[in-house]
Order: sequence, then structure tokens, then C-alpha cells
Amino acid sequence: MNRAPISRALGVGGFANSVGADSAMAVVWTDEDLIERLAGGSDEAALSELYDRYQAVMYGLAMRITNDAALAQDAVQEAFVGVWRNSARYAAGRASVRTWMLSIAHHRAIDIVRRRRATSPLPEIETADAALTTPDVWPEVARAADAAALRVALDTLPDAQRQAIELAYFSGLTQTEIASRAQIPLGTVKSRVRLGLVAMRRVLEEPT
Amino acid sequence: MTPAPMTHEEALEMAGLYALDAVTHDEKAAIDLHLAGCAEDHSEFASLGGVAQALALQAPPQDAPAALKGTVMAAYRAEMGTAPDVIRPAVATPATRDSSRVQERSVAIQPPHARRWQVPNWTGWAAAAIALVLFAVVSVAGLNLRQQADQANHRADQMAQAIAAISQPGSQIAILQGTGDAAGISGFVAVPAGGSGYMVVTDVPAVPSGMTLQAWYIVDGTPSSAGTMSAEPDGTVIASGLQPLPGTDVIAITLEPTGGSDQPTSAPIITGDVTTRT
Repeated sequence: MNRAPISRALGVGGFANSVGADSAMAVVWTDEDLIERLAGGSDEAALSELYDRYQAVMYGLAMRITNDAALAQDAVQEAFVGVWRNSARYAAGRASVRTWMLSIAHHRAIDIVRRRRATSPLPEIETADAALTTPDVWPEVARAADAAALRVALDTLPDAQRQAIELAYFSGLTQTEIASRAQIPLGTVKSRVRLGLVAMRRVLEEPT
Repeated sequence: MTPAPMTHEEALEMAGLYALDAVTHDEKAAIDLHLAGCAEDHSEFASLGGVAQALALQAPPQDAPAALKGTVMAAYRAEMGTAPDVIRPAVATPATRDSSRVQERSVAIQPPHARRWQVPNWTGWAAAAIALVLFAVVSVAGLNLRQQADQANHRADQMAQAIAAISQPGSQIAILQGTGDAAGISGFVAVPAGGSGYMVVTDVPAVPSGMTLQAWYIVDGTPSSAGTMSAEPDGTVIASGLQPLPGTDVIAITLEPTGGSDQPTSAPIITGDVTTRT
């Protein structure tokens, strides 16, 4: 007889469930399980657990981008809307759930700061989220990296490259806006960002 | 508008900006179009996309305000259709509608008097049991309100009076609990000193055909009929006008043939000991 994995066999439930009187083992739902439950229909417990796991990293990222508590909260709320609406499109293997959710939070936060500037709004969520699941966009780098390694990687970059990357990722500037702010040609912006990310990847991939 | 075609080299130049979300809508559309139709190697998009997401590590985690979770969960419930019933005011007809003045708003229905109902300030299991019954009745009233507003309002009025009876010193109170197969039934009786009382019971299963519910006052082990009653379709019984006999120490409910019996013909399915509120 086929037996469902224990995390699924329990049906709707919380993050940890008592398995039975003869076992003290607690079942831990994986992130992928929770996304699958969300995709399967209304499941408040799954969303609640995902929120508890990732609200701090999502809110921290949104605060860094928006520098405004109210806007950051808007970004996180919109991001969770994106999570549950697109849960069926999440593809395990292309990215960790954490990376996927952070990418949505980033996108929402950038969208909010751009709307505030009234320039270069991002696409609506349906279009944007299609890009978030573009095949092979999510390698293992983000999954394996930690904050210290990232700092090292950033510190290896020339100032101009690091600034261009940070202006794009954390300030939500487009290439045109970066070029205008730094008073450099568009081609230079493209090359600085591209070369900077390639260099960072090389550092992040080095064995520690 | 269809974006302008982009060469493979032009697309690759944009890979880093694309990975960082640093492109406009049009630029992104052009890149997506290229990726969808070009057979050449685009692994750099994958490569740089991963690095870009690692940048999130630079933002230190920070707990969101506690209230945000409630907002997120409420939005989810609303979208999933699990939110409380909501009624929307009728929209004006096209001929009279002034879109600049129409402000859509949602009004969550609350059971009548729900806001002013206060569970008596008791401690212990009795208060908890009564609170559960009140919650059940309030919930039922909310569900019925749209179709049966009058009935729900009447029920709400009765509940308000039952609660008032519970709160009065000298009232006789009984916490009712189902037994055996009827263990899910719960309720209470509240009879103020010198007045008629109320019985509220919830989660009563359908009564078999030819049978009815009958309540009994039991004094020193001797039952006397308190009358027959029937549950509403949602399993709620709200009976008023109760006048227990002096010395009643137990209130019980049995299943009896339609029309009632002079004496119980079956074991009680619901019982409760009577105490006096101090």
C-alpha cells in the first residue's frame, strides 16, 4: 500500500503536529510543502507558517529599499498576495522558497518606490511574476550564500560597480536613472552592473 | 505595443540589469520576447539572477509590526472567500451614478447586539462554557442574518435577556452538557430570582421522526416536565419562560415521543446541575 509522506498524510495542520501517542516526533512542514498546500486551495495555516518564517527577512529587505515603515509594510503585504496567487506556479528546483519569496518582496518594494517617484513603474504582478519563474534564472548561489560572504564579494568590487549594483537593487533605479545620477553613458551602466555581478559570483562560488 | 526586437548581444548586455529589476516595463518586455524566441545560450541570465538575489542578504532581518500579520491573513481570507459575510451597498444606476462621489465600502455584518454583549465576569469553567455557547449562537445568528434578519434579531434579543439573567445575583444557573452520543451538545439555563428564565442549547442533532425534546426539572431525584421544545435547523434551542420548581437541583433533557411524556421514558441526553449565582 502506498503511504503518503507524513507531512501530507496529516492533512491540514500546523507547522508541527503530534503524530500520535506512541511517538513524540513533531512533523516539520518544509517550505515546499507549505507552498504546495497554498497552491492546493485555501489554507490559512500554511500561509501563517510561511509568514512566520519569512516576515522578518522580507520586511528587512523592504525597509532597506523603501526606508519607510508604512511602505515596507505595504510591500510585504503585496508580496504575500503575490505568494499565494502564484503558489501554483512556484517551481521547486528553480529556486528555494526563500529566494522566491524574497524576489517577490524585492519586486514589490521596488515597484512601490518607483510609483512614489512616478517614474518607470514595474509591470503589473501577472507579468512580473511570470518573469520570476523564468526557467534557470535561479541557480544555487543565493541559496548557499551568507551575509558575510556577500559582504566579502561586494568589497572586492570597484566602487563604481558596487554603487551601480546597489543603486539598482536597493534604490530601484533603472539603467537610465543610474546613468543620469552618475553622469555616465547607458553602456557604462550596463557593463558596470554586468561585470560587477560576474565578479561577485566568482567570489561567492569560491570554496571557503 | 510589441517591443522592438533585440539582438542576442543586446539582450546579454542587459542581463545584469534584468537580474536586478533595473529595467523599465518596455525593456523587460523586449528581453522576455528575446528569451522566448532565441535559441542561443542565455545561461548568464541564470548566473547573474542568482547573484542578484543573494544581495537580499545585505538587508538585516527585522520583525514587521505584529499587526501586519493580521492584515495579511485578513486579505487572504477575503480573497479566499472565508471572511465573515460582507454586504456591499447597492451601486447607483448608470443614469444617476456619479463616480466621483461613489465611495465603495464594505460593511461586515455583525450579529445584532453582538458588540454590547458582555460575557459575565465569572471565573472558571462555568464562564468559559457559557462563552462558548454564546459564541456559537452569535455565529449562527451572523450566518442567518442575510436571509432571516427578523429571526436573527429576535434571537439576539432573547440572548441579550438570557445574558442579563446570568448576570443577576440570585439567579439560578445550570451549565448543560450532553452525554453519550450527544456529548457535543452544550448550553445553559439562567433563571433570575422572581422572573422567568431562558434555556440556550447549541449543536443539537436532528431529532428522529416521531420524537421531540423534553426538558425536566428534577427535585430530589423526581422529574417534573418543563415542557417540550424543538431545535431550529441550525441545532440551536432558545427557550424562554422557564419557571423551575422550588428546590430544583438538576435540569435534564430527554428524547420523548411527539407530544411529550408524563415521565421520562429514556435516559437524559443533556443534564446540568443548578446552582445559585452569588
